[in-house]
Amino acid sequence: MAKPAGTELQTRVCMRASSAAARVASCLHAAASCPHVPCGTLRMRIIAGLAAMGNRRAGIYNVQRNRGGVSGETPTYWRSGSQDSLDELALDDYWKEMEVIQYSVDPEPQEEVQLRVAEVGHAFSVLAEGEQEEAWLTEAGLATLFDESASDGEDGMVLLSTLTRTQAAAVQRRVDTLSQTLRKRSKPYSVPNVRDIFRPVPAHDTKDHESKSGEGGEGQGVSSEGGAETETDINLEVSFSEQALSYREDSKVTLPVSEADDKLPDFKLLRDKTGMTKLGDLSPSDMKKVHRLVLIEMSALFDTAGIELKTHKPLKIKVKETGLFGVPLSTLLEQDQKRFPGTRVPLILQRLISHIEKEGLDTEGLLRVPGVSTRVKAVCHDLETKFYEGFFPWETLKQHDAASLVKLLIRELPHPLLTVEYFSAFTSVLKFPTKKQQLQALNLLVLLLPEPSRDTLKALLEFLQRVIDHKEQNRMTLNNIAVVMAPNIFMFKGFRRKISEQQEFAMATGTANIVRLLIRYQNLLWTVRMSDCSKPITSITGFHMGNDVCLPDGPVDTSSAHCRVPRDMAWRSALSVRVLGAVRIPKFVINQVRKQNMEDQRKMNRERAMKKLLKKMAHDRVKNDTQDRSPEVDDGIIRVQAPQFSKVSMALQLTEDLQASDVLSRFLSQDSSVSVKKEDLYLYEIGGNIKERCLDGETYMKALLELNPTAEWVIKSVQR
Amino acid sequence: MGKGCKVVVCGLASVGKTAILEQLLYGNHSVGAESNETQEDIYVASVETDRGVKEQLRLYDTRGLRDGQDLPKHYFSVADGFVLVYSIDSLESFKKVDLLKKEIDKSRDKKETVRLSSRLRVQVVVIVLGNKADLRELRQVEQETAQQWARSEKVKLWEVSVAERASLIEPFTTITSRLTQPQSKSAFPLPGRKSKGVPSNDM
Repeated sequence: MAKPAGTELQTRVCMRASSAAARVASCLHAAASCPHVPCGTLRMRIIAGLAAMGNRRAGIYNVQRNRGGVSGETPTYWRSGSQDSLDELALDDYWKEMEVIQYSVDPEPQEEVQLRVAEVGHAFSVLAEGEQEEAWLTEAGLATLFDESASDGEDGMVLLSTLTRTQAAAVQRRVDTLSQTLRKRSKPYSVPNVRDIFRPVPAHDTKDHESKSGEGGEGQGVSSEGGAETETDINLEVSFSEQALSYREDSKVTLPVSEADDKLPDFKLLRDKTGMTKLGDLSPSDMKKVHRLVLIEMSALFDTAGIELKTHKPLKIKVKETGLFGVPLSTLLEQDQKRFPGTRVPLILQRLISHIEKEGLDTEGLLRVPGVSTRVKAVCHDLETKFYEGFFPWETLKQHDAASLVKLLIRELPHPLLTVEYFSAFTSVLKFPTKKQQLQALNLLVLLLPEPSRDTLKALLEFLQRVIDHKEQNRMTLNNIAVVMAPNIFMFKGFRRKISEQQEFAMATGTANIVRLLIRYQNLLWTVRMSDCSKPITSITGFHMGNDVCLPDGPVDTSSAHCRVPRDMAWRSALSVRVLGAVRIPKFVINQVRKQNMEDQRKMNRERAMKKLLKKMAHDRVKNDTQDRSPEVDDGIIRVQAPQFSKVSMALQLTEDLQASDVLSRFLSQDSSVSVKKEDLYLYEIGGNIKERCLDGETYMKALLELNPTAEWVIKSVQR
Repeated sequence: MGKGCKVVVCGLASVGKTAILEQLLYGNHSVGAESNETQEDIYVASVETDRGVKEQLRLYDTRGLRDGQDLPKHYFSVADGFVLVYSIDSLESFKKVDLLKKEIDKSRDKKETVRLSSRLRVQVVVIVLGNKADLRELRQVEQETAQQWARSEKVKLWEVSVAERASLIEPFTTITSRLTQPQSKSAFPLPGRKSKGVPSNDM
């Protein structure tokens, strides 16, 4: 329990427990080892901070530090050797990480920093009340509710008619607020009364509810029974917000506030007979509907739990247009895609991760131990100039430095990885009373993220999981990793300066817990990549210098021989291997999309019926004749088309356990004439009440046919 | 959809219709392999005719008929040609072929009166295949009787064996050639077919 000696910090620590002293000291220490400390005094007041964060002691620690003059000596490395619980250590790590972050900020002239702060401050401004609702409604595809001219050809009414109780309430609430503010502002355009909006609906609404209790009967049943479904089953069939509502109504229990955060139960998804749907399985037009519904649902869920969300608006800020660090994710990807079309995760991140993995994940304190900051800075500069040229000497990069660079890359993003729009929603997730609801909220939020953020987040999470898999060796447990990564993910550039110290402490545990949830449950939120688990290491000769480039995404097997392939080809093949897990779309969202499509079609049919009347009757009859003949399909037979095969069509007798993968294998067993890779072939559900949906192999065809009786079944290769 | 002549392959259950088609198309059918009951499969094959032109055939592999079952009616209106399959080790299957032939003739008469005006080619081409020719010991249908019947019905008949892929090729080349034979009577290019089909989906 030695205090670090030789720092020029004057550390005045008032405390009662000596172990706590060691912890605080350890966190200060990291800062001290960094030579590029800006001058100034930093006061840290830890108000019951450590105590609140899983610690048992309460008290006020007042730490004042005075950094003056040049940093001369480099103190020897010191780490708390105490065998305190990992938790306590972990929270130290959080603060330590914060310190590191603090000092990794370039010692730029003070004014410039100020300037940037000012800019970022704007970037994170809270929208005015009316604007917020307006933006929300627009994004939810309901702009017609306040602006008649905004109609984009799609009818908001159809959307409204398919909403659930809670979702409708969420919409209503926002329309209410908007109309109030508008009345205040006395804008020229009038907002329809809420009653008017929902008036045409009830006819449908009741019907929907009836049909719901019929078709989705089991769903309603489940939620009301409650007990039948254990706490750890995640029901994707019933709207999350409805579930939350029934939770609130059922259990008037006081919230288990002090729920042990350590226990992360194993959740399991209730298996869906009609197959799970991933992001990317649907056509763009249906995806738009999904996005709207998810947004409404997310808001409804937060509303139901009584959590107020502030919407932030991304303002245009000056950002670097080129380079690697401090460049927006989208710009990074644009650069990469010019080189390698289809890149979904920035190459620099992939490359850094792969470097760390190549050195081995057994290193103790991986990601916690900071790199040497002078070196990191130099490498950072080097990378900026040499990364794309391929001249960067990867073999000289130390593992801890690379880890620091990964963290730097994430937190230097001008917009937070979790986006400005949903940032506050992410941080509020923990306000939900149950883990289950937290997870459901995360599922919706991840769905709402723009693609670059989502993919990058997933790549990062997968990497973190791989680090955790080696926890026996590297002593980086889930908690440790979460605590170390949280400040990097949440304390993005500029945000930190906006919040008070108090908030900062509150966020420490909170954000760490969110990161924990994300890592721990990534396989529930995302699908597990199955196809490439068996793929060999993708270790290739990369760039001009012949460095070994090992793309990170396949599980890296260091024992296998490195195959050397020409550069371009290798990159390309490596990139095609990289399949990130895709986010699951909850089934009730899909069902709502189906319902919406059916409403749309019904409307269209009504219009078409009018036109038809104008046509000749005889003409009609001919048409009807042909229509009558085509569904000669007997009960339980589906016709699967496969235009690419020489067996172009096949009628199949459905059985209870016939799955999509069986259908595929029936075709594939014979036909060797196919030119496409078998892994790329999928069975699609096309038409009926969905535009197009790529089916998961475990979809039960019979169950799905009941859901969408008029669909066509087509085998084709994925275009992704 | 429309391109290519539609040929319906039918016959009694488990005479080897699917086996013939799969052996013809993929050449990987192993004799005696377990069979799945076909519902209805459609294959697209490209067959070289005796004029040296490649033509597309849409082959409808139908569900094997059980005793007393009739071929679903819609096939008669769809088909441009039929491949009737029996198995030489089953007299019953040969009788079924005879029945099928009679039904085709009946529907053809009807078709001619109904469709004469709208369709150019009304002639339905029929060939007959006696499968499992390798099972000589179990033969129930004598080759001579079968051929005699064929002559009287004015259809071509081959005895084939799935084990011998070569034996399958001639019948299908013949039926394709017959189906795609240019109509001798009309001196005009066929309206519709040429103008529509050629530019877009010439494979």
